[in-house]
Amino acid sequence: MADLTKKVCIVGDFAVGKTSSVARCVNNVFSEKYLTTVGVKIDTKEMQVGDSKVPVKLVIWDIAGTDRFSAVEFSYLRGSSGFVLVVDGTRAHTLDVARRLRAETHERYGELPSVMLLNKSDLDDEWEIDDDTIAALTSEGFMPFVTSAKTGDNVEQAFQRLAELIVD
Amino acid sequence: MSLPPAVSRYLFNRDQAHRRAICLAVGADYIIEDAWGDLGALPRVPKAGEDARSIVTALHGLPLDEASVMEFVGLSGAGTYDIHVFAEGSEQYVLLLPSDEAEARTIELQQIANEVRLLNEKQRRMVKELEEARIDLEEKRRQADHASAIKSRFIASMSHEFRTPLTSVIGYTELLLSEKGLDDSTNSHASAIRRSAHHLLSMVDNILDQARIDEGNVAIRMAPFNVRQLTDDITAMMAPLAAEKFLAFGAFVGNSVPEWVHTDEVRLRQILVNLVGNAIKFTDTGEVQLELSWADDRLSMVISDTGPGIEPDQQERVFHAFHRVGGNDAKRGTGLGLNITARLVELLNGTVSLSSEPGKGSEFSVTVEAPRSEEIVAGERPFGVGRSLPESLPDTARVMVAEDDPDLIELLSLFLKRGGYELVLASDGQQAINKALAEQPDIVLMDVNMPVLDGLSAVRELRNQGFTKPVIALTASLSANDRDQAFAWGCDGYLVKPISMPELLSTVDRQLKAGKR
Repeated sequence: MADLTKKVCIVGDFAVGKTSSVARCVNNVFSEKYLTTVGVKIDTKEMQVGDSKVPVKLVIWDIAGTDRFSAVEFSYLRGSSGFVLVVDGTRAHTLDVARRLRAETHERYGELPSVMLLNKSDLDDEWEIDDDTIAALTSEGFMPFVTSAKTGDNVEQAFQRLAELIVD
Repeated sequence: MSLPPAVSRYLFNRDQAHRRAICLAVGADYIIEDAWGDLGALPRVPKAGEDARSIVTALHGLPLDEASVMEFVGLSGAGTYDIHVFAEGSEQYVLLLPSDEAEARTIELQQIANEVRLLNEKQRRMVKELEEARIDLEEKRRQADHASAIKSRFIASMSHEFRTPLTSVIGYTELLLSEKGLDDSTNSHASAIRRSAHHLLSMVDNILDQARIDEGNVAIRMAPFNVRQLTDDITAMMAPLAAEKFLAFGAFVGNSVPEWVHTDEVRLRQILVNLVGNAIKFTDTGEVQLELSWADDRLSMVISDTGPGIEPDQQERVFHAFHRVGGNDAKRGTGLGLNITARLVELLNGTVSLSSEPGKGSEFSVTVEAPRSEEIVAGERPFGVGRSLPESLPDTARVMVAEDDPDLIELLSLFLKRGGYELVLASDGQQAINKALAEQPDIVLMDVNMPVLDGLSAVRELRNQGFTKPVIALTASLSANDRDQAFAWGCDGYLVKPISMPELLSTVDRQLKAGKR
């Protein structure tokens, strides 16, 4: 077991691909079928961070999709070292949900490190978030990654970056 | 009132057994001190002295010194639990209550709810896309309409710009050729001018017609008309052209043909002018004939000639746009005439066919829908309602010519003087109103396109002021809409430039007689 174990939460609106992103990151698998998550699913991912390859174990809390945190979801976030915001790139309004969830998290638990997955990049024809919007996310303080849980594009990199942010 | 202790104990034990609870007593730094319950359900059985977080990963980051409850926590490889953390005295407990069954029920409901929400979102997106597509199409349609309107205006303008000077060219040439004592050379030169002017007119008409048909802007106006009158007009127009080439020309109307039939006279006239004109153009010796017959509500016309004929491999293509049968280049046109003819025939619910033998001649057969119609009498004309008609024709009728082009005024004046009419002249729409009301001519020839006030507005004003004499519109437009508007605003006749002397005089004469009736 890695010496460094950190809890991270993955949050976002329903059906944006949170569970699929975790499955891709942890088990390198993907399923086309949409299955809702109730409560929270906990999984772990070991990775190495930085030039000295510090081993880190992420305990990933995959929290059921929501557009606004309730007391229950806030309880899941307790003790978290960072979080992953997931947005469905084919449903632009899920970006607004992610903005709101980040604000609520910061308000409750302080400015925890986070990354943002703009997921479903494989669905080119249905993509709704333009490049200018993505570019502007950085100035809003987000760390966006255009990802696809289906193809695996950028998923591992996003979790790796979050681990680095937490360790730093 | 609380239950008896024995019952409480019984219920507690039963519930505990049913829920398969797991309890860990945890000390500082998450070290397990003791464990109870269904420990086999965990990934491995916890032992005293172990870090509780290595078995229950959900405890990572979770402070144990304050009570908390987390529902539906799925532990990898160990099912789903509600996790309760609480302390009693110096002891801290982590209680795991299995919640798989409740989770399954919630998943079932939540899955349906979320799928419905996704479908609703998709539906909203599709509705939005459809609306955007509708707006886009609406905009494209508006742009297309605008482009079409510009094109129509251009066509109308071009028609006017070409036809007005051609009226002068053809008219003055006709006058020149009708002079007695012309020497052979002058006669030959004037004939060449007339041929070229007709050729130019035909090409301009074909190009403009093709454009109108292509944009679907050819309105068909079915109305009763006199077949024999049409045949007479075609003869008057074509016989001189045939005579110039020493060809015999004859038009024959069979006994079966009713006096009046119901179809679009303007388009039928165009079809016949095209086919008879072509026959005369391509025939060098012999004759050209037009024969009309009627049966089963259909008017048939056969145009035959003794020209060079058309090779069998060319016959199928003669109706294609821009196809020109080989031969004398001087006789070539735009290659649109027969294509326009075929498309007009189709618009009249008719058919056209060709039979030809090289060296012997060609025969074009046209059949259009043309049911028998009752005769139209002047009093039944909608624009004649409420108007008084002259009791008798004056000995010398006075014709007012309202036209702004000095050359055309001169030409029309010459035509009309040769017909024995007296003239009243006006050069714009307002002047036409003033003079018509003051001098009460027997008939008015009103150019549509005039300065100060356009011709049709002038006609409408004249009718509003009680002017009852016949008015004939002079126009460069072949558009059915323009023709309809002219009649709707009070015109009785409609002459399209270029206007020949026989056509002008016969129309004036007919209108004056219709007025007498």
